Amino acid sequence: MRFRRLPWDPARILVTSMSGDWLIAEEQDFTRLVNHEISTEEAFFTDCQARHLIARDTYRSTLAPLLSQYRTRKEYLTAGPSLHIFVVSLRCHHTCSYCQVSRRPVGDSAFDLGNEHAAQAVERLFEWPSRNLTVEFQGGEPLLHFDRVRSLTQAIVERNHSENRSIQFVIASTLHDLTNEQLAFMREHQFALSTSLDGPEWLHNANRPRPERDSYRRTLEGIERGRRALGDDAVSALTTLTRRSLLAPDAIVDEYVKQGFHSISLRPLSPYGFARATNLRTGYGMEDFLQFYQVALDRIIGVNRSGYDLEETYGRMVMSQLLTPFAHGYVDLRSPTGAGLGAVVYDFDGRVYPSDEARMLASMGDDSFVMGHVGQPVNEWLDSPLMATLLDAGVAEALTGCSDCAFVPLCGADPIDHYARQGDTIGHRPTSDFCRRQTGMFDTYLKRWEDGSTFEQGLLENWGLRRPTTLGEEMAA
Amino acid sequence: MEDIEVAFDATVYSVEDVLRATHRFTDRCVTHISTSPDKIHVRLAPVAGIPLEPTTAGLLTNAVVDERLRASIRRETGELHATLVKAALTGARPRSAP
Repeated sequence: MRFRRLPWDPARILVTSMSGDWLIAEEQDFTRLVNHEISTEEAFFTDCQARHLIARDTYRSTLAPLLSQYRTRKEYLTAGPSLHIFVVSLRCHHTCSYCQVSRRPVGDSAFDLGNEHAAQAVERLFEWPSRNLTVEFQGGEPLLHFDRVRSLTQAIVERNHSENRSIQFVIASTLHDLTNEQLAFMREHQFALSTSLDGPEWLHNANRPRPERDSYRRTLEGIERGRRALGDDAVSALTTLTRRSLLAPDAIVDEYVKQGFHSISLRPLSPYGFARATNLRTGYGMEDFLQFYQVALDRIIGVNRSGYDLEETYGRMVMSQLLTPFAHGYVDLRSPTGAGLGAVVYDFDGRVYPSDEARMLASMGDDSFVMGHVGQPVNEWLDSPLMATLLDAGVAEALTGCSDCAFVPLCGADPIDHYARQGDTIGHRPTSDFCRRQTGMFDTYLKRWEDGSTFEQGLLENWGLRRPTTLGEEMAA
Repeated sequence: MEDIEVAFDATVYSVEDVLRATHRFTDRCVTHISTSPDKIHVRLAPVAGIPLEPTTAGLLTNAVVDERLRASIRRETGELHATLVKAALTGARPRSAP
């Protein structure tokens, strides 16, 4: 049992079980509980017992439900990495100041994934045990080396005839200059398209400069063409939030509604690549991000109240953590860390990384987190000193500042982020941006859950349980 | 605000209770801990010249109380917790050679 005083009401306490079930108690009740002063006749006793915070008699009470919940929450441990990122090229036609992958000029094919490395990467892919694989093509701009996207897809599909895994192909792209031939291929293989839309035109173009200054127009055109060819649900968009973005939360949300998206992802900048070099211009502190998030969330809830379905993806995952024991395996919300255990990155030069952030550090000249090379079997990567280092720092339940935190059953560990920000894989929790963001988000949603109207609670519940809801549906109920 | 000094009754709280609590304040304070026969003394000094909030002493006191409760819970449930985790994860598939 772990607990935390509510920041907005320190006389009330969030109490969590080892498997992430929870309740909020008055301080005096909680103190009586710990001191064995609660009567078995009290409703509070029954509530704590139902949430597996206490057991009346460990010799007679069954702990099987608690075991089942814990095992369910850690289910991602049993399958190995499900996300496999193939970097087909570093070439890109944008010059974003916060670029995290240190892109290369459009004509520089020396930074394309070659035949031999591509073939070896496919071999490595099928060494992992996961039955469900997401194969994501990234760059730079992967469309600039679409021949490689095509050949890798075909090789994976061919190999999968004997492997029989469930494979989802995704391409993370600006969607600029999409051709009909590319779209036809993607339709054939049921690709999902993931692009970036930072907000209204003035913001998107300011964040993502092209020589022609028309990134927004090209992105919308790509979204439209992608939807026509693959279906609306196949195209998703993410924001990258610069300091400029924090001034426009309502405008960003409104843009996503305007473009017909039903999901928005509000993620803060990370300290990698050009983002670190331009931090003075584009960066901001975590308190600024959390303030921005509150305003944006107000707008998102308002949009839903007006009858339009729109979820915030991280909020959905936080609510899922709070309301269910099911594991979604998202890298920031899992312990042990997702680095190398939830995701693997196969870079254009054959080097392999446990996360995209590790690749970004290498692009900045820090090779600390190179897991190995595609020419090596997976066993060698997992036996490497790097994986030992990541696991030493990647189990939140064993980290100072995390081990006693009430959120630890729901939260995660990110050794690479702590290394990048603080120079140490374990990090210092009181000054950790990762910790501040995580606790800030959990606090945000707990408070919204507590204080929210019936509609808001219903909305957040549906996010967590992944059911769509609108005000119209509520009124009809 | 200048340095803050708080003394805790060593017959009620342990040094570990106080250590764990003061660690939570190391984002804003430099912490000094010392003991006398029946007291544990904490001195908090501001970091980088940023004054400490007037509520810091009260927050620290609450945090030490919380750590005392956590210690009590750990003593009572630590072994069971470890047993349950081991039982729950026994089924995790071991990595097999290709």
